[in-house]
Amino acid sequence: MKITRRELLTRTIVIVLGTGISFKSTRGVEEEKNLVMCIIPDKCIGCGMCVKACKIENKIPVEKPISRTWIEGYEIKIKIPYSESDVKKIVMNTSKNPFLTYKWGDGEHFFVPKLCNQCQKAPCVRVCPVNARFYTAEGIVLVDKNSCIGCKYCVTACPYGATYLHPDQKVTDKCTYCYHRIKRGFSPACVQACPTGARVFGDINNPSSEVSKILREGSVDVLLPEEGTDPKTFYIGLENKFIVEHSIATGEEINE
Amino acid sequence: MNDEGDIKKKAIFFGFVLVVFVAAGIIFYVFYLSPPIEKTYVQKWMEIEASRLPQYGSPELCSKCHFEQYSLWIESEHHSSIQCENCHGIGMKHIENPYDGNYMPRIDTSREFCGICHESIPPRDESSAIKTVNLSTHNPEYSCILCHLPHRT
Ligand code: HEC
Ligand code: HEC
Ligand code: HEC
Ligand code: HEC
Repeated sequence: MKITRRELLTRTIVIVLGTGISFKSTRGVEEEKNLVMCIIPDKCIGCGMCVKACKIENKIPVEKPISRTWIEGYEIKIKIPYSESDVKKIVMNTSKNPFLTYKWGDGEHFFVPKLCNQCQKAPCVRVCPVNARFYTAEGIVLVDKNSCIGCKYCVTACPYGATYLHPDQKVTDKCTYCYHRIKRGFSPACVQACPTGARVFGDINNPSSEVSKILREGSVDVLLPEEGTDPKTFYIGLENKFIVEHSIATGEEINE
Repeated sequence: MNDEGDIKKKAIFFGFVLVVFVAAGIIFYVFYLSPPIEKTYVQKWMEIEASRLPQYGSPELCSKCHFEQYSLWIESEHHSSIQCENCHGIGMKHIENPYDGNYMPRIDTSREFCGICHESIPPRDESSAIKTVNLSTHNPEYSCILCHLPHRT
């Protein structure tokens, strides 16, 4: 085979540039992680340690009834048809624990911890007019508070009620899975604070992590699957509470 | 004819060397000397977000100074699964300024405090993850820590 000089020249240049560029692009590529949280409502005892930890960790005014994570206590009297069941919901989102003073009646009682579901197809990201919301490489939805204009489209778009206007900063705010902590190798504050292990956090790309095991074994639900938001916060063992799933998820105001 | 061919060859050779050097120079400049491309606002925000300091510590951090309590706690049968900061309040500020009275961890020995987790309310039934007592009937006249040492339970 005969190569002309011109070909030789162009090929050499292509090779030199090519190696340079590929060398550059391989630097700084991190291992891919897919961080998820898995919530086991059966283990939740409604002590509210997660709420307090989260609010102090993230400097959310502790006594205002807004929170990145909150606990819902349910009291359900089942009736046939199911849609007419009596559902009472009590919400803990300040440092005051309403579950201890509430006069519980008969019926089924349980707690469901809630937080931002970190949807992979997040409505809040889609509706944001200034593109202040975006996904990180780990799949976490963050709010760029420098860009946010506080128009609250995301607040109405979120089917889980997980985003709100921060009363002091006047921009929207929501759970970041404690991005600053996980970047340093800690677990999110609520996970760390939970005394019973009702919240499990980890990387599902790593098959030996605790979440991967739990997700492989248990029956896994997400809240409001019909919204097509593809959440990354999973719930284990909600199936026996299926009758009220819709009201659990939307939390239609049955507040106190 | 022969001479001309020689010169041509040399010219091409040196031209080739020159091109390689120039390319190497450009690569060196682009990847090592040139100022980095301005960060996008997204990257900037990720840095701001990641630079916030954690507030919630961990028992391992407390153990450096409170080894006595830590060693009791780590060997305790039940409470080793909960955090120091569940009972003493969030403590990263205390870890940074151990003598500052403003950040002193709280010590709550009241019965209501243990009741936050242990009070028997209907959702904490038999199958729940915690053992409960009825605060108004379980030895009501004493403080809990008289019988249940908090770090050894
Ligand atoms: C850098 C060392 C250091 C670390 C780390 C540390 N402490 Fe302390 N802590 C101290 C010192 C020193 C005192 C005593 C201050 C005094 O008596 O004036 C103290 C006092 C306390 C007290 C008693 C307060 C009182 O009113 O008597 C508690 C409770 C406590 N620490 C809990 C914790 C917890 C929980 C952690 C982990 C989050 C922690 N400490 C981490 C140094 C430390
Ligand atoms: C179940 C709740 C609980 C947990 C968990 C707990 N403590 Fe305590 N701690 C207490 C109580 C209650 C007292 C007060 C004891 C007293 O007055 O006799 C106390 C007292 C202390 C004191 C004051 C000195 C003393 O012994 O009286 C220190 C320091 C302390 N704890 C550190 C820690 C550290 C470090 C951890 C984690 C390894 C921890 N505690 C975990 C409840 C707890
Ligand atoms: C943050 C929640 C929390 C607080 C506050 C707390 N505990 Fe506990 N406690 C637990 C958990 C969770 C367990 C069960 C741990 C296990 O066995 O895995 C437990 C177990 C116990 C047990 C053993 C029960 C058994 O199984 O026999 C006793 C006794 C106890 N706690 C007493 C106390 C006392 C006294 C206080 C107040 C100083 C207190 N607890 C405060 C969460 C808490
Ligand atoms: C006078 C001593 C005394 C006091 C005070 C006391 N307890 Fe107990 N507690 C006991 C004894 C003894 C047991 C074990 C016997 C039993 O299981 O009933 C026990 C059992 C428990 C258990 C385990 C219950 C179970 O079902 O296994 C918990 C939880 C508990 N106590 C929490 C508390 C709390 C919280 C307080 C404070 C409000 C408290 N205790 C005050 C003596 C005491």
